[in-house]
Amino acid sequence: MKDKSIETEVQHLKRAVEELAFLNELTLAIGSSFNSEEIMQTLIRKSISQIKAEQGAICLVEDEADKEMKTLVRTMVSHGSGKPFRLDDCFLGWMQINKKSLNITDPHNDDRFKGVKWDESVRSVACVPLIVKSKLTGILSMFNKIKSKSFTDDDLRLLSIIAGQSAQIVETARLYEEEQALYLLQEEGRLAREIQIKLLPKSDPDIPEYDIAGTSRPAMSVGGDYYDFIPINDNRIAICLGDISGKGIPAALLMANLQATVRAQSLSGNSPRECVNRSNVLLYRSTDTDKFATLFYAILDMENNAFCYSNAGHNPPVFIKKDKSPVLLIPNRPILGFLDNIEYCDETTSIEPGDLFVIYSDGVTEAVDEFENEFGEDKFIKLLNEYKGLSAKEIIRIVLQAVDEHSKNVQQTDDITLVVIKRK
Amino acid sequence: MSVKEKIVDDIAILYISGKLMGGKETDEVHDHIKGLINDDIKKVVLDLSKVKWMNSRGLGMLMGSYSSLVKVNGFIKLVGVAEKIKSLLMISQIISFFETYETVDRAAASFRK
Repeated sequence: MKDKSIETEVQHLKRAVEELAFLNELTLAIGSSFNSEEIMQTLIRKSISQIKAEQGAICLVEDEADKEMKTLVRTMVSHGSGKPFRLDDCFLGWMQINKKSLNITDPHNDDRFKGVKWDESVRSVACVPLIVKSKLTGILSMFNKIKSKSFTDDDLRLLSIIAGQSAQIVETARLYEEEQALYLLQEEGRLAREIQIKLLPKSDPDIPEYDIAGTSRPAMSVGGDYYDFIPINDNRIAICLGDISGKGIPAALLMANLQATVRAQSLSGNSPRECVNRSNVLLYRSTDTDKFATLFYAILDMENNAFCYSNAGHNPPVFIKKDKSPVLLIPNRPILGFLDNIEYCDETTSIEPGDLFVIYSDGVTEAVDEFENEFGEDKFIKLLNEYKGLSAKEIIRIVLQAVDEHSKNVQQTDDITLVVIKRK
Repeated sequence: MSVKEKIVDDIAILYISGKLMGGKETDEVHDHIKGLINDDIKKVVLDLSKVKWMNSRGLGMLMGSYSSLVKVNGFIKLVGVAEKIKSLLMISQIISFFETYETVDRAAASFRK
């Protein structure tokens, strides 16, 4: 009797040592990777081999409230039945309530899971919960104990220990991957911004009789404003400003596309109307349904002191004659890229010394304060009228200052762009 | 922002409430309409009476939805358009492309004419 009990003890000890060695090896193997899929594959493979099961799987649960489990990974060892077994949703329900190990020795006759459609070849199932900070993050399951009718208590015990040790590692890997994905998204946004900023003019035009200045202050992660100065010949320069829809790389590409299109059209000596017409058709054909851009396009004729402009859905610029009240340049047509059969139009105004044009994006007038009050068009126009005697650069500086003052505790959500043209 | 859908015959009525200021939420509306097009529903009534705020990004969504529907010979009609939204549609010169109605029933009826 004594020999038998010693033998049993020795067997227990041997098993315990074996299990400890296994657990150590497992922890080392999975602790060295940040790839959650790799970790889970290793976990299942080693567990199947140690516990001697035909199949193993890990199902991850994204949210406590998740009704559907996602079987993310499964590893088969033998091709006994060939088809991978799936855990029914009712297991998730049971596990969420009980949060403890589950040994199903007779699946087809188990009262707890009556409604489950078991595959014929399922003989035994063992499941343990993966728990992190009292939340169920997944289920580790083994199917069909090899050369035996069902899994033993020792098997379940070992499986529980495995789950206990690896739950946090699996969760950490999963969170790391989510963080990486977010980082990549932010990087893309940053790159798109850089591209957009590089497309903008590096300096203001230097023209004897005219004082012209422009600026664009980007907001983070939203679609860009675009403005450009395009010298056509010694006497004419094209000036434009537009607001691109969308954000990220697609918006940056659209801006590059639009700039190239408008520049090509300008240099062909087209009138503003023709330029905008063609830019619209080209944009419509080269983008899909939710890519648009507003565009205000004008040609400043310095020889004849005339300003000829065409507007495609952009907010009307402000025109302030030296001794008169500000007016808005009303003629306007639909935004670019909307429909390809729009007929654009243009208007010409003469410019006297002291006259001023201010083209701006809605980032200026729609800037909000902490109570969601907009800066507003009226306030903007009043400000321009008050400081119309100053230089173009000064006017821009004052407007930016006023907008900043208005929205001082609020993060900028839209690009703020201004172009001021003044005849000296 | 939320979108509630009701189907009456071959017309989809979408009740939008909240803000249409851009971002994932606003894109949802256009995605919803693309889903309707996939299921062969091309007549859409958009009830905007509970939309508090809309900016140029929300406008872009409206236009995108319009374009998507028009491309498959469908159409979109608007109900309960607030003054602010109306002025946005006017500035970007696209108000003439949208039919606006006082009530959902009238908008739906106009599809049947």
